[in-house]
Amino acid sequence: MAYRDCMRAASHRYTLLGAVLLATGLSTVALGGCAASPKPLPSASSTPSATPVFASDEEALAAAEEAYAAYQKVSDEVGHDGGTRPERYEAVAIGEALENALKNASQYRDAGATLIGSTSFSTQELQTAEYAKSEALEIVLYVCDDVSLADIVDETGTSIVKPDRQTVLPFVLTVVGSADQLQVSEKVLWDGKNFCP
Amino acid sequence: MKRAGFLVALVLAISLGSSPAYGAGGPCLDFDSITGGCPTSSGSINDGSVDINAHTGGSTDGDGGASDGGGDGGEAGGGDAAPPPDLIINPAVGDDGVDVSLRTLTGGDGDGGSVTCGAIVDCTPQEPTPPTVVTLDDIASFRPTTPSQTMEPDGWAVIGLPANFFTIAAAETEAGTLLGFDARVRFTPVGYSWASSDGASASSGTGGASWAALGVPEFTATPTSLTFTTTGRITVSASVDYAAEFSFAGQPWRPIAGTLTVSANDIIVTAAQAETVLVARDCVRNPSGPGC
Repeated sequence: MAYRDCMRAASHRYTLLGAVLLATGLSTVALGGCAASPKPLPSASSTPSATPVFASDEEALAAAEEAYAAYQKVSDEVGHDGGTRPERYEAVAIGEALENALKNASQYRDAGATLIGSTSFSTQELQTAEYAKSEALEIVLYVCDDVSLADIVDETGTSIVKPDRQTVLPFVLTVVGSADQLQVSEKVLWDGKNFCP
Repeated sequence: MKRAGFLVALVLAISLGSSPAYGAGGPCLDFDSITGGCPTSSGSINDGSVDINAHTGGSTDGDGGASDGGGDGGEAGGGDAAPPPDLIINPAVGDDGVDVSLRTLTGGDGDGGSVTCGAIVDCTPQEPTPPTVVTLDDIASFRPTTPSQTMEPDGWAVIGLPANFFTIAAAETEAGTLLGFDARVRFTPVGYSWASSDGASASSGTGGASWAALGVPEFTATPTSLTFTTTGRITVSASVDYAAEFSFAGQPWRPIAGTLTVSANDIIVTAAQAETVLVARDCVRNPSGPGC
């Protein structure tokens, strides 16, 4: 009875294995008992290439946020350095966004300006997330840049920030790339009604 | 036709909205953001965009971006986090000149203008038409005449010998009102049955006939005869199954499912033992003989 139960359990868990053991000799099982149950065979069903990079839109959005945070960090650093070494943008931006970032750096240099403080952002909403193919990800999201803690001063240390500036600005952000590297490809000011809180 | 126009307008609007030109705004460099050099976000709602919340990818969606985009676009304004109000404005104009706005995106069946009465949509109220299906319950007010049964010998029977029963029933047509319409109902007898209180029974497709009419000797078994086994007074009930048809004025006859069973009059039969004795003369010759 115990032998039968043991066999049943074993064959239930490891059908293939049970068949092999049956073929090689029942006595092995009888002698070894349940304690001799071997390790499960590795599953052959894992096909990573067919699995989406992200399990959900939320994961995709989180990855996009991370990419934009990196972009913003670089942008702040470039600003702190007065627009020097703009090539730092290349790691975090691509395409149109990169072009604009480089213009941004030159704007600092041209004005002899320096960033003081830092910028931050909050995500308003995910717009679209395309992540079926790991090598062609595209996530579009609405973000709100917060510049209230950032100031830009000229060579004399005088702020060149307009006193009535808008401190929270709505942007539509496009993040593209692969699972390994997501970069901001577009950052467009939303010129409709400000959706930021 | 108008609805098709709306659909085209809607699809067009969605495809425009999902193009890369999300907002009409410029890049607004970070430098300008901070200094206040970017154009101030206005309160304008006529920004020419559609909010598309397309979610593709995932474990099963594959590349179905287009269909997902349409579906999710339809619920702009709903969901967990409401999108910015202006993102759901759609300036597309339908065939009827009405803006295709949020109502169309969420509309489901749509609200595409008026319905044109014509060959396809008949707006003229129709005279109510009589039904083509009627049940026996519907014709409860129509009943055939109660059939009548007779028997021979008249009112008595001999134990062990057949007594002949026959029921007279005829097809008949009645006129009246059925479900609010002038109608006729026709009953046709299709089955006859008899049952006695001592357990004898018979059924036939015909009502039966007298022995004389059938041309058989008395006490001959017929399809409609009963043979009793007990003495005494026995009640014989008879019934007739009628098939029914109906016809509304000017329309053909249509059958009604099922049959209507109508009971005939009961007959009380005195069943008696009969013993045979040898007699020398008949009762005419010897009126005082046994059994005379």
